[in-house]
Amino acid sequence: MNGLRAWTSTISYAVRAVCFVHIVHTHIYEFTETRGESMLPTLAATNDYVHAIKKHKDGKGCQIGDCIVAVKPSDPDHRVCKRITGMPGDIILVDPSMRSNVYGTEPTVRSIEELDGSVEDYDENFDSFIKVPKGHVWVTGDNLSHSLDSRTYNALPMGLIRGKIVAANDFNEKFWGGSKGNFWAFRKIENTYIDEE
Amino acid sequence: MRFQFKRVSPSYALKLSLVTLTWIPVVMTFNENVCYIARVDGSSMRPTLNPDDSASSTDWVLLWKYHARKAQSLHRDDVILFKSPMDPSKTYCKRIKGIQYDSILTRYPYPREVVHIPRNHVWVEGDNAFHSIDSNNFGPISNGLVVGKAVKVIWPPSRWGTDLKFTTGRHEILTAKPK
Amino acid sequence: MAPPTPVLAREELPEIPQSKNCVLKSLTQFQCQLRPAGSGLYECVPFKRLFQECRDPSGRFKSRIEVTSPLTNH
Repeated sequence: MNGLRAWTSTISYAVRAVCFVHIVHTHIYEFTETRGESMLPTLAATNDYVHAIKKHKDGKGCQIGDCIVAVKPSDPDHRVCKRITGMPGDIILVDPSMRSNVYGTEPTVRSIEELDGSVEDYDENFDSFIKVPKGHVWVTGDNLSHSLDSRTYNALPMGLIRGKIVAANDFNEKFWGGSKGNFWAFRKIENTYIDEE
Repeated sequence: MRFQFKRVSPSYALKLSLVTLTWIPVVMTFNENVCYIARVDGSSMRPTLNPDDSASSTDWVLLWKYHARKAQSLHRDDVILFKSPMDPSKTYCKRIKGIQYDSILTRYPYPREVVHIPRNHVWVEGDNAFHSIDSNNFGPISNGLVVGKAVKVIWPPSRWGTDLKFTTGRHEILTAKPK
Repeated sequence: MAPPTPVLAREELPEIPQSKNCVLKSLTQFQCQLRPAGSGLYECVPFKRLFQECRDPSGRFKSRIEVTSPLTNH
């Protein structure tokens, strides 16, 4: 009888602990691994862990230039980590990066001389604008060459945003004295939308 | 009186409230991931939900959330609650009229006549098709926006037996069913 | 998938406002390539995007239009 009671109380503690951690992860804060080349050089392709603040769920208080974690629109089991490059109502270029718009292909960085010289003769990439719809944000990976993002799946509904990334730790680095900073390369992830001098 | 106060000592009361506190995350986790009772406002799902005009008839439904975002648990004619793609603070209740890879005949104001639903998306419409802001306005929605599936009317009790699939809005809108 | 959104050509855009209430903003992203193959090192070329951000006279945000052009990145 005593053994049964001990088991019940152990299970009860475990359930409460797991649910507590789950609620904290959903609503307050999460420390989680990211993978993939799409956010280079901001986040490493492997073993980089991010600190996400969950009060920005549903895009609350998010601004252009913020780094966010969101559910992938084409697959709710996967999450993506991208940078907001357009807010609702903004008029932005669909894909000004100078490459073919096929995910995974070799980027072809052309020089300005190849663009026929004339300013009037805009490349098609510089003539395709989109107005970001209400309730949506435009997201792109920091590495425009290897990123599956709004350029493919269109604007992202803000309801899929799960949090804002404010900092990261890179476990490829040393605990102390690594090239990016101390404490396993702890660094803040800043908003990159700035005044142009 | 004094004797009765002593029976519930402050330390016991404190312990009891702390133990109660530790169960709050368990209740929240259950409500957010398994099931929940949700209120449905508005006339867009009439006559299935909120059939009367009177304000007292707001319906409450049992909302099933576990695995509700998986493509295999979202079927045509299911009633779902989802976050509005145009405003994430709002939740809409509509019926699924098309699942992934379906082709749908749209209605005004959608700009194209036929739409192909992409992977892990659904096409949603209200039963009261002419008083509904739905996929004809904002397009197919990602499964990730689904909050849960309405499985039963809980309140008012007079409508406990309501079949949520009794009327299902617009018919014959699939141009081709995938094999 | 987002609501149907038309892709606009430059002629279809509202006029880009030029006033003292507008400022030029930038957002820098990158184009990275693995180089040399197998070394695990990346080479990233910055790609700067420019936006014209305008406020109404009371200082409230009004509009943002991207003004990145082939000439702004070299």
